[in-house]
Parts: sequence; structure tokens; C-alpha cells
Amino acid sequence: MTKGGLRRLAPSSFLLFVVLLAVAASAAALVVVYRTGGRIIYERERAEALAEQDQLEEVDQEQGLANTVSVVARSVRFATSGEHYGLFSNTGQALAGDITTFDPVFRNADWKIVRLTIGQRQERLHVVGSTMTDGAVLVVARSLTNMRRFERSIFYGFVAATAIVAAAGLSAGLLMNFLILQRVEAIANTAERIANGDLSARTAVSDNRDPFGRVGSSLNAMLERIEELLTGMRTVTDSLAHDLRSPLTRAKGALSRAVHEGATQTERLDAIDAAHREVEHVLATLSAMLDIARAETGLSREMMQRIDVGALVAELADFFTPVIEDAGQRLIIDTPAYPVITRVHEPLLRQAVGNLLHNASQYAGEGVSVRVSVEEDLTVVRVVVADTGAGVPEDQRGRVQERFVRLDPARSAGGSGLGLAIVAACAKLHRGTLKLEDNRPGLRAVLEIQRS
Amino acid sequence: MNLSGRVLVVEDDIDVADYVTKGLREVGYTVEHVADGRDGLYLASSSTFDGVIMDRMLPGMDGLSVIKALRAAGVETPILILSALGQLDERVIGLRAGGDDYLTKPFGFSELHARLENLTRRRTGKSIETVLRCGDLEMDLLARKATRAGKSLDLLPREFKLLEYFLRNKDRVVTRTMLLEQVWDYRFDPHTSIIDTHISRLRKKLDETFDKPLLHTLRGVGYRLSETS
Repeated sequence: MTKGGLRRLAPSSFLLFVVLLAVAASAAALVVVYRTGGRIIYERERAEALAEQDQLEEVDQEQGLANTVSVVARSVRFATSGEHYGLFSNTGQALAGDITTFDPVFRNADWKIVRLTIGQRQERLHVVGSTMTDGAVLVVARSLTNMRRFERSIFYGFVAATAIVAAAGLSAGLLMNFLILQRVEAIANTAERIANGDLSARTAVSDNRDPFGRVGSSLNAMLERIEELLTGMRTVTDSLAHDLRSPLTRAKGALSRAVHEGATQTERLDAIDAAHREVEHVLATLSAMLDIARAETGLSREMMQRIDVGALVAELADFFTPVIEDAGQRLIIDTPAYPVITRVHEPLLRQAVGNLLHNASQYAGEGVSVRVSVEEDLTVVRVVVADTGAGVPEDQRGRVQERFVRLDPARSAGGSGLGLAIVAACAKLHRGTLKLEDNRPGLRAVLEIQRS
Repeated sequence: MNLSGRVLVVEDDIDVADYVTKGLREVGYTVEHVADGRDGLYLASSSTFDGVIMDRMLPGMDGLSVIKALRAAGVETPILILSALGQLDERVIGLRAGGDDYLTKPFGFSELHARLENLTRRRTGKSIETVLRCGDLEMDLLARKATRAGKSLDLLPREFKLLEYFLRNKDRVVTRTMLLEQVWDYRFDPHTSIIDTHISRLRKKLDETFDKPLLHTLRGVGYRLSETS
């Protein structure tokens, strides 16, 4: 379970980091808005107060103090909250307005903060004041309430926004975390089961289009391949053990006959000869195994050369003619008169075609004809060995390409059981295929290689 | 037996080296043995040998590099490469590096001997011949005709090719794998009877109607074309 905890920790701390980042971002935004917004309001209020004061001074200059008194009184009446006025005589006596207490600052104040009593309430106000030409003192004041209200609304807005961001971020994050972990865990569980030896475990794939679906399906494909390889390997190991043990056992038997006291010289030599052949068979099998392994890994590609495949097949067919004839079969060589040039791994191709011919001579039976042909088109070259014999049942055609598979157990003494496996490996090295088809009657083996 | 041959064996495996040097001395060769690639290069380039048997995996300097260095220095001594279990490519790589023949471990001494004879004599008999002979057998390479005791032999091209190889290696042991590799360029034979089949067909035409057989089978080794059995 600690493993589960650890697995969860990393995404959670990441989530916390994201939320903190969101909070910090909104705080920074607030500071910017607060400072610019505050300054704009402050400047506007100040400009308005100055303008009003100018207007009142003008009234005073042009229409006299009496009119000013009534204008100020009217201004107070129509003032919105936070706007205050005061008019004083040059001795400090209140003449009009809701500011009734005189302060010497009023004589010359440009947006000064002054604590004043308005009605019953004490307030801090921004004050613009001046002494007019007739000696009277005019004061226009603005309360700070507006600005505070603005401040407060920004603060609450910030708190609310942060709360929403945090809540939404956290819940979305947790949800995502949960979903991801759930799906990753499904894959991890499968991997764990595999690690514990259950090779058949597969992860459930819901949707192939999303990344998790793809991870899941490629994991499954990989597992499929691994299981296939392991099963193949097991089969090969078992068969290899069998295929090496049998000839070695026969060799041992022959050698004990050779050292037997009563044996004549000829018997001895025959026995040694037999043992020798068995050992050669073992070596040939091992060598074939290595060739297949090498061909399958594709390492031999650098050894490929451009050659005339038609000529190579014709030459090989000629080489195999005596064997085919001895098997009571007829060989028809049908290779083009013109060269069929492509890049191939010559030794491996020789061996592959040789194996196909050998198989025909061994398994097609007496009285049949074996036709060897080379066909080509723009992209592929096909070497076809077709006989008119008994053929191979359709359901067995895949199996015979595997290693150490012999369809007729009675014949297990001859051949390594690797013949078609080598042909298949050759096809694979040339990015082609080995197809076993029905020749109606007989078997038609098509070794198809990609032109390059 | 070849009494004049002088052979250098470059092999670090003491057992294999012992087996080879003893065997070669028994059949009349003078044998030098070194276990290190550098020593091999030094000896082979400073002294004259009729043949070199070179292991692939050597301490000091690997066999292929030694061969390349020798060929680059203009040393034309025939070289037989020895290697662990041969793979299709290994042989080609070895021959491309400048080796003349390639033998896979484990090998029988007779196989090694036959190949070494083949290599060392190939050099001396380099003159261009148009007629090959063995006893009353005569082969005209230009007319592509073979006769025995004056009677024309009706040979297929593949039989002609096989007989030509035997004639060029007259009196020498020729193994099945040598035939596979050198006549048919076929490296690995899972079906050992194929060479025997070819031989028996050739023998039918060559020896059947004559008193004295020319093509002899050597048990567990191979064949020899010779007037004497």
C-alpha cells in the first residue's frame, strides 16, 4: 500500500502547486487593478472638487457673496453622499454649507486630508479650500468613503475569485487525478500480474482513440508478442533438447558398439562412421538454428547483394536434379531467360530454395512432377516450388513453418525439422513471406521477397 | 606426402593448436605455432610459409585484422581461417577480408588436411591448362569433352564441372563440404546424401564400364580421384 501512497503523492503535490499558483496570480492581478483603479478614482474626485471650487469662485467674483451663499446652500442640498461644502467669512464664521467648523487650513488647501465634523459625524475628508478675493473662504470636500467602498469591493472580489479558483482547481484536479490514477492503475495492475508470471493478463481497453486507450492496446499487443515468443521459445527449447538428444544418443550407441570387444574391424569402422554422421547432424542442426536466429534479427541485411535470382534458382535446381530424379520425380525448371536482379542474402536464399527442393523430393512422393519457377513484378520476386504430390492439409500449413515440426513422426530420423523455418526466416529477412498453397493437387510453396 | 610444406598455425586454444600441429607434423608439414595475433602477423610477414591457419578470435589482434594487414602488406600466402560455429555471413566476411578458405570448428583433421593441401597446391599449379589427365581419363577444357581410354564420356554440364574439380585436385582428398562449397557454392548441407547422389551418377559414367576405378570413396572423409586406390 505504501506503493499506492507514493504513486498518489506526486500528482497531489503537483495539484497543490497549481492551486497556489492560481491564488498568487489572482493576487497579483488584484494589486495591479487596485493601484491603477484607486489612482484613477482619486484623480477624478480631485479634478471634480477643483472644478467645482473654480465654478463657485467664479460665482463669487461675478455675482457677489450673497449669491455664492445661496449657490453653496443649493449645492449642499443636491450633493450626493460624500460631497461637502463650506463657506466662511474671513473671520472664520460659517456662512453656508454643511461644513460648519472652520479650520485655518481651509484658507489654502489643495486636496488635503482633514478630520471634520459633518452634522454629528466625524469624517476624514479630502479638502480643496481657498481664500477668495473678497476675503471669504470656500471649501469643497470629498469623503474617502467612495474610495474605501471601491477598495472593499476589490478585496471581496479577490477573496471570492480566489475561493472559486481554488475550489474549481482542486476539484477538477482531484477528479482528473482520480481518473488518471484509475486508468494508470489498471495498466500497472496488468503489468504486475505479468511480472508475477501470469502471461495471459491483458488490460481492458475502452477507447482506442485516447492516449490511455492507445497505451493499453499497445501494451496488449506487446504482451501478445511476448507470450507468442515465450511459447515459441519453450517449444524450441523442448524440441531442441529432443533433437539434439536423439542423434547424440544414437552416436553414443554406435560408439559403444565400436569399443565392444567382440566387434570386427569392419563393424568398428561402420559404427564410428555412423557416430560421425550423427554428430555432423547435431552440428548441422545447431548451425541452422544460428542461421535462423541471425536471419530473424535482421543482422544479415548488410550482407545483401544484387544478384540474378533466376540464374541462382536454375543452378540450384540443376544441383538438385539427381536427388529429385532418384525420388522418382520429374523436375521442370521454368526460370526466365532474362536476368531477375534484386538484392538478396545469397547464402540464405540458396539454402531456402534448396530446402524447398529437398522437401519436395522427400515428401511429394513418387511419380509426381516438381516445377521450379521464378516470377517477378515491380515490387516482388517470387520463387515457386510446386509439386503434384499429396500436399499438406490446410490447417497444418502454418505449423510446418515452425521450428522442429515434422508432420510425419515416422520420418523424424531424417532432416532437422528446420527446413521450412529457415525458408520462413529467409522470407522475413527479405521483408517478404513464405506462402504454402494448394497446387490442386500438391503443395505450392511461394517464397516471395521484396525487391530492393 | 607433402614433405616440403611449412605452415604457420595462429591459434590461442591450446587443445586445438596441439591437435592441429601434431596432425600436420605427422603428415609431413613443418609447423610453427603462435598464440597471439600480433606474433602471427609478425611471423607471417617476416618469414615465408606455404600456408597459414588462422583462428578468428585471438588475443592481441583478431584474425581478420591480421589477414587484412597481411594482404595490405602484399603477403600472398594462402590462409585458412578457423572459426567457431559458422554462420552464413561469417564465411563471406572471412573470405572478403582476404582469407582463402574457411573452416568451422569443430572440424575433423582430415577436413583440415584436405583443405590445406588444396590451398597450398592450388598456388603451385596455377599455370593455365587446357587438358587435364588422370590415367586414361582425359578432359579437354576448351572442347568441353571428356574421354576415358579414348571413349567419349557423355557428361551433363554439372557432371563435367564436378569431374573437372576432381581432376584439378587429382590424388588429393576432397571432402563433401569442399565439393558443396567449391563446386556448388552451397555452404550448409542438411541433406548429406546429395553429394553422394552426384558422385554415384558421375561414377556410373566414369568407372562402370572400365576395369580400374578412378573415383574412390574414403570412409568418413570424402573422395579422391586417383589411379591408385
